[in-house]
Amino acid sequence: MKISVLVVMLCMVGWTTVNGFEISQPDQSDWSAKRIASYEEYSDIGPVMAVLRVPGRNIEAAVFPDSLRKGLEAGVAWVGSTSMPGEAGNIAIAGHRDSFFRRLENVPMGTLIELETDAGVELYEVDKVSIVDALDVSPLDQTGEDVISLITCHPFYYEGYAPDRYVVRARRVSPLLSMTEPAGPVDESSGLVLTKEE
Amino acid sequence: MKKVAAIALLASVFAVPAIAQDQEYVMTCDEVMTKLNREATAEAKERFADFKGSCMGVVDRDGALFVHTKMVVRRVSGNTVTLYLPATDSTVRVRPDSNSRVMIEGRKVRPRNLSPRQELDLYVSVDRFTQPIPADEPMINEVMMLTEGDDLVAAPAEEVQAMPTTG
Repeated sequence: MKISVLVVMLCMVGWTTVNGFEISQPDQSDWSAKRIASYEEYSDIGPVMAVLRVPGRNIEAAVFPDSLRKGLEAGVAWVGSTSMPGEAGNIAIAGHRDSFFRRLENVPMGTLIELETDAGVELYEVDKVSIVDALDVSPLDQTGEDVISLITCHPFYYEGYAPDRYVVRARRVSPLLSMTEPAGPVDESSGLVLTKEE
Repeated sequence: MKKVAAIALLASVFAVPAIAQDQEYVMTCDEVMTKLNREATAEAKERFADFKGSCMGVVDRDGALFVHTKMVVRRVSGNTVTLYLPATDSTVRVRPDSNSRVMIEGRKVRPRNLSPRQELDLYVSVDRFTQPIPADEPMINEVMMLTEGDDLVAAPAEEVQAMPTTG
C-alpha cells in the first residue's frame, strides 16, 4: 500500500495541469540564468491555448496568446497575425533561443512536432529550416498548406539583440481535428475562444 | 486587429538619442520601476511592458529625469533608419532630415552612416509615463535627434512589421 502511494506521488512530481493541459516542468539544463529566473517569476501567467511538444528534442511548452506579453517567459507565444493552434493554415509560434527553443538548433528534417489543443493532438513533420532577417515577415504569410512555423532569434548564442530569425517549418501529417474556420480572439480572462461577430 | 487597436491607445514617446557625454545615473532601474509602478498610467504600463529588462539607469537633464535604454539599428536606406526598441518591443522606421545626427561613442554621426546591429542610446522622459495619453495617438510618432549645434530636432517615426523578438 505504502509503495503504491509512493509510486503515485513520484509520478506526480514535475507535472502541472493548466486549463486541462498536462504540462511537465521544463528541463532547464541548457537555459540561460536570466530565463530560468523569468520562468520562476511568470510560470503561472495566464490561460494556455495549447501545448507544443517536440519529443525528439525534449521540448514541451505551454502556448500563450501573443497579447500576454510575458508569455514568452513562461512558455512560447502564438503569433497573433497567423492561424490559431487548431486551425488550418500557417500557425506561427515564437520562443526564446535561450530557453524553450534552444534545442531547435540543427533540428533534423522529419522531426515530429505535436500540437495539443482542446480538440486533441495534431502531428507535424519538419520539412524546412531557414534563417531570415528580422524584418522579413514572409514566414508569417499563409501558403495554402497546413503548417506550423517555429520562430526564434538567430544566431543562438549572439550577445545582444540578434539580427536574424531561425524558422522551423513543419507540415501537418495527421488529420485536422477541428476548428477549420478561423476562430475569434482569445478571451484572456477565461482562456476561451470567442466566436466571431457577424 | 486587436493588436492594432491596442497600439492606437498607446502613448507617443519622445526618445532622445543623445543627452550627455558625461552622464551619471541619479537613480537605479529598480528605483525608477518602483516609482513608475506607483505613478504610471495603465496605458504607459502596457506600452512599456518590457521596460524593466531594457533599463540601464536614470539620468537627470536640467531637472528632468530620463530612463536610459537602447535602440538597435535594423536597416539603413538612405536617410531612413529602421530601429528596434527593446523597451517597447517594437520596430519603427524613422525619417530624420539631413540636419539630424546621432551620438555613437561620443561622435556625432549622420543617420545615413549608421550600420545594422549598431546600438544607440535612447533616453525616454519619465514624465511620459505619468501623463494622460490621447486615444488617437500612435505608439511612437517621433524620435528626437541632435543637430550639429546640439539642438534637438524631431524625426517622424512610424511602426513597421517585424518578426517576433525572442531575446
